[in-house]
Amino acid sequence: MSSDLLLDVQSVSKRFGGLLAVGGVDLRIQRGEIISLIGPNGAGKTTFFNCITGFYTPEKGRVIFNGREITGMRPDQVNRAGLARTYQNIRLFSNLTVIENILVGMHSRLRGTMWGALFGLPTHQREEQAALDRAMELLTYTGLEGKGDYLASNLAYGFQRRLEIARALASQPHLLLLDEPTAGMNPLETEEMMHFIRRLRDERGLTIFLIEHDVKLVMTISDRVNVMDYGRKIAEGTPQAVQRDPKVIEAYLGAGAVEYGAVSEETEA
Amino acid sequence: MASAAQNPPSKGLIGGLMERFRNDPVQIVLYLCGGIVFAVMLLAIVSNLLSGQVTLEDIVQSMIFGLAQGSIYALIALGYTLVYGVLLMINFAHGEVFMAGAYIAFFAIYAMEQSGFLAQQPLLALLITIGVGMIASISIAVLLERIAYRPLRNAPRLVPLITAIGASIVIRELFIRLFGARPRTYPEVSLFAFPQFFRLECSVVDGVETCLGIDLIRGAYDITLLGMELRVRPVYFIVFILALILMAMLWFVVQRTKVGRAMRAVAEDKKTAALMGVNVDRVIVITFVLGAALAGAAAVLFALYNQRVMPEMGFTPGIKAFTAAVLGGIGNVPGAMAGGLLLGIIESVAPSMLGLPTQLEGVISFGVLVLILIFRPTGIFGEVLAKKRA
Amino acid sequence: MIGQNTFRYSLIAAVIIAILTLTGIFTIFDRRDVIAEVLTQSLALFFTAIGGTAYLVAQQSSLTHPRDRILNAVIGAGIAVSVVIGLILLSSSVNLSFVFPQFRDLTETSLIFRQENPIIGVVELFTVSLFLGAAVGIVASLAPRTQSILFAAIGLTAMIGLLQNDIRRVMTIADAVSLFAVFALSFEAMRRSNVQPLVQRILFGLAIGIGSALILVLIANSGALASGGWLRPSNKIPLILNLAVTGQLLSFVAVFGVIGMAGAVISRTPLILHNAAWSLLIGFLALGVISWQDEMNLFATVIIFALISGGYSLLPQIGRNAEARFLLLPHRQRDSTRLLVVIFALGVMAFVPLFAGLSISNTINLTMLYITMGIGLSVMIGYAGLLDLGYVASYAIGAYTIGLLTTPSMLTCGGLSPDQISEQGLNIATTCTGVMTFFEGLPFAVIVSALTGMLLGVPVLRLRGDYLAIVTLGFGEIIQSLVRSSTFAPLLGGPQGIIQIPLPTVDLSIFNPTWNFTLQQSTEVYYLYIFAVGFAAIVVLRLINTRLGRAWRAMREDEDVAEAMGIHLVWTKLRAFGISSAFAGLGGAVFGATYQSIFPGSFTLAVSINVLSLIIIGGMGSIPGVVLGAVILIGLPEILRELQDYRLLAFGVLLVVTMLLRPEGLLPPQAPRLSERASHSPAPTGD
Repeated sequence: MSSDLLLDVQSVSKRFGGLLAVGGVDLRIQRGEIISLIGPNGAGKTTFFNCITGFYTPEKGRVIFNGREITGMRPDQVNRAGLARTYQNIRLFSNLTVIENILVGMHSRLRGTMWGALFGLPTHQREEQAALDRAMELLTYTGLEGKGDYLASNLAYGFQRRLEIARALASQPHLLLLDEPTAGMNPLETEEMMHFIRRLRDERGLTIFLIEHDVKLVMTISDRVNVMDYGRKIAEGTPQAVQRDPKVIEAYLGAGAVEYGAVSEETEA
Repeated sequence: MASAAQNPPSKGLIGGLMERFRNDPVQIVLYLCGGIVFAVMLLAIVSNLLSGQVTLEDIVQSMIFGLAQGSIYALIALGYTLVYGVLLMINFAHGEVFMAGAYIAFFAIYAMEQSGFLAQQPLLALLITIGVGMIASISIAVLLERIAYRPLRNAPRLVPLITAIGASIVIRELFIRLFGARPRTYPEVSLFAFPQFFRLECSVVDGVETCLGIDLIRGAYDITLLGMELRVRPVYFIVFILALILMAMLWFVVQRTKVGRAMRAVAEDKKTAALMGVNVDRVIVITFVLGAALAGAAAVLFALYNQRVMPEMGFTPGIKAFTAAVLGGIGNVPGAMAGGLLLGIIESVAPSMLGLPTQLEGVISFGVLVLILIFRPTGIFGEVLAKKRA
Repeated sequence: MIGQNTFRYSLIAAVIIAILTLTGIFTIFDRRDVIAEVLTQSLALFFTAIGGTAYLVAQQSSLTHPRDRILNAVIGAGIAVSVVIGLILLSSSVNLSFVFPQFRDLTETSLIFRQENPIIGVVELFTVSLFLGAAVGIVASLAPRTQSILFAAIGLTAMIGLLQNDIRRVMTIADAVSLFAVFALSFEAMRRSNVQPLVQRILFGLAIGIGSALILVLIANSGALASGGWLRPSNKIPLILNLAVTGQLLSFVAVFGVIGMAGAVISRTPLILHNAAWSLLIGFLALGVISWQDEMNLFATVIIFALISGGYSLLPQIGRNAEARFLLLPHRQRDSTRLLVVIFALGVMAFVPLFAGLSISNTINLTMLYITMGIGLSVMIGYAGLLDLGYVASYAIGAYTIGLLTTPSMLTCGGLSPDQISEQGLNIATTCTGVMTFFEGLPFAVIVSALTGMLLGVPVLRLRGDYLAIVTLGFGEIIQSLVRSSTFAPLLGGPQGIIQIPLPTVDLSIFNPTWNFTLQQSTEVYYLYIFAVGFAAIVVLRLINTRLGRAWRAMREDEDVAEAMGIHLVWTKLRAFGISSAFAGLGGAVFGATYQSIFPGSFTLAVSINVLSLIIIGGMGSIPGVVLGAVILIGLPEILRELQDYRLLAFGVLLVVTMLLRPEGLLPPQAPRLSERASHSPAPTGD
């Protein structure tokens, strides 16, 4: 097995009651790739994400990340292992400031203990200072400079999206999972986000796995595209190959009018 | 919360437990503690039964009382469950709604006693008292919903809960300040019935023996049943039967009427229900009204056999009824009924079976609550709305 | 024009006033005066209710013209007063005591101005209320800022009037004026000068203070302090100025030196510290006026009202200037300024018992006990978002632990209860070798509380807010049953509790053989409470902006996301349980030792409700909020004994109203401005 394999999902299944939300999906992600997952509403994309990130325990199958099995781990353990995610409907800590949100993102990378904080140990103070400085860097990197002391809930929508990514980046992940990062954005913002995602890969060496509704975005930035429908993976390949795949066309036939800006409502979230 | 816990993997009991333990060491501690508690309880029961400190008669007798007490809990629990189903909030002030029914109804029954009406028409007077209790509870609940809860419908979760705690203090304290903290005693009521079956309280007038029958409210009779000598109060059965009738009526309303359908729709999804033309505010008010009506009726029944009413009387039954609702699975209407009865019986039987001193009786219902929440947080019959959590 | 809601609002208010009247509130509050010989508490309450109704009516948005506001206010007042008049007449003719036992004959109260003929009194009441309505209508037409100054001044003056009996001996006018003058002098001098470095300003302030002190010494020694002299108008001995004539010159100069330094430092501080300092000094003046007049008479009322309204209208502007100057200071100086203010505040607090006397100290101690617990519960509810209603459990555990460890008990006597010891004819002194002193037992009390708190936390960790509330409520009740029960009576004393807990002693005899203090009186125990509050506050302040504190707050905001960000929910919650229980245990231990006995009756649900209410009303998750909440909810009712009966009712109403109108509480926590602390801080964003 090549060491370039970062995430290896082996026939993961998850059902809710009688409903098969994800049925035996396989997926492999190499280091440094931008991979995307598309599919009509209710295809099980977010559920699949949740199975990887520990929100749900899959009934069948294994998830191997960076050579380690993470199936059934709690979300915080998964995060520690190097996976970070964003959410389809933005979920920031709204009464915390922007910087605090990012600092929370660093939680798993900080060693500070309660006692260190209580006694104000120098190591602890140095770490907190370093964390703060790194948070400021991330602010600048994500274009949020000057907004550090705002409450997260007071940010404009587009900035909230960026903050969510900044918070995910703060945990120094190997793999970043983005759940519809451009949902609710206008074409210009979408364009910017696209560049930003590419920069993340090119400058930070991150591997990125995104769920998208905006087919255009997916086709331009993805190295490979996976398509899900009714809980099953129906296609995989380069954007061009997938676009020509008859199964994909069939799945999207009814939903051909998927345009960007349409906020999807996946109920299983 | 931990979504995984709600969708336990179907790997059999042992496999499932192993899975939970692996991810969550706290579970081990919990199960260990729970196991010890169960073992100790079992040991206590067995030793008490073997040593003959507890007789079957004691148990049956406590169970009869427990049935009545449980019916009261069930009626109150329905109020928690209905409101929870629709609003996903615990109406902390429901115990006070119960108290208000019993307390206000006291003035009605007292006035009827003073005027002699109670002695002449006991049945009618009792029905009026129950009616007054229901109306009092309903008024309080509707005011509560309008003033305290409605403005907070979309607030963060803790906010309506704290409001409910505040409201419960306000109602209780207002009653104390208005009507005084000392208990008031319901007048003695005798309601004789079934002279044809029970030749009791007989008197001979002009050589003709006329019997009043059994006293359904105040009476207590020694009977022998299957070789057990029991002292039985008919009022316990009356309470149980009336509670069953009320619950059946509620069941009918929820399942068979248009209002009930609207309630279920709102419980499922407020937004969609509103889009479908359901007046959500009205449905919520009706939910409060139904819950309060049951609590008010329960309150008068409770007062009939307990006699003493006071502003602080709502707290304990309120908490216990909540336990009952959780026991049956909150949001689950038949669950609340069953949970109430079960808790009533556990509570009346357990102290003697476990050999607990009377001062520790209060611990039982909380113990049940904690154990339930540890081992089966969705209640015995499951939460109807489990999916809406988190 | 009559506003569309005039009748609706007036009637709702009238119903509320009627219910309050039926609770007998006007009889209960009729015993004391707010303004001596002029205004009883009952009348003050009545006018507040009528005025409130009138204001509510006059504030309707549909009314624009002042004439309309006045008209509607008069109508509102008229409707509300009519209801009360109806009840007054009813109370004198019908006996309602069976239904409303506390509702007495109102013609015997000051509500009818003690008129012989109730009809005349009622007419008088009606007329006065209409005039009040008109006055409120005029006030409602004033600028909002003027209104808020007016209301604040009325409220605070009334508060001082309510407390007059307890505060009239605190500080003489001579002391108050001299402290104020020196502070103001130093403040003003430093405000005008351009001296920036902190050290220089302090030295200047010191010089001004010492200089003024020397002048005051001359004045004081010139006979002005003699009985009847112009510095002793009310024949009370000034506490501070008297130092000058009794040969304690050094202390005297030191006091004014410190005041001078304080003025100099305060001239460049953040707004809130500046206003707090000035409010304190204005408070001194008010205390001086009360002491001078010996009661809250009309004269004192007018002066105090003028002082407060004047202060309140001037302070914000001066304060903003002070803050502007503060922001010009270099970073380091700002930090040291804050530190200095804290030191001054501590200094002021150290002297409080000297002025306050036993009864007020007692109240302050109780308030501080609740502040300690409030800070702890704030960790649970405000930071971690876990609604704990069984907080009293940890408090009880702390109190009982200290009780058991510092008295002969089964814990300290090798497993024998005191009864068994006497039965077996053993000597308590030789058997009970484990008895500890308070300070030896204290860490155990805190640790045991923390551990049991965590243990109780385990089963409820994964419950969501509302379940957690009820289960923790259950814990409180279980603890209550356990300590009361006869099963555990040999250990815990049953209903009799634990008595004869020794007082805390501070043994410093290694430094000086006479330094062995027993903290006995409330003025001495005070320092123990200060320690408890300080400990709790420091722990929380240190934690809140670090990894753990952030994890708590993140969890409060969104548990799922917090977990996905790597936060271990179980440990994070358990720590919140542990820390908050530790503070409750600390409070319980201090409580047990200072009151010397503990009974099950001290550990009821009411304790949990008190703490919950004060942190919610004060502002969840903010220490100033907790302090304010404790002062309002614990301190005030303690002094206003009439309020005791209405205390819980008021708490309930405040809880509901706070949640409806201001769910974040009176003083919500401020978001930290972290960007300033970054090493290479970019230019501030301007706002």
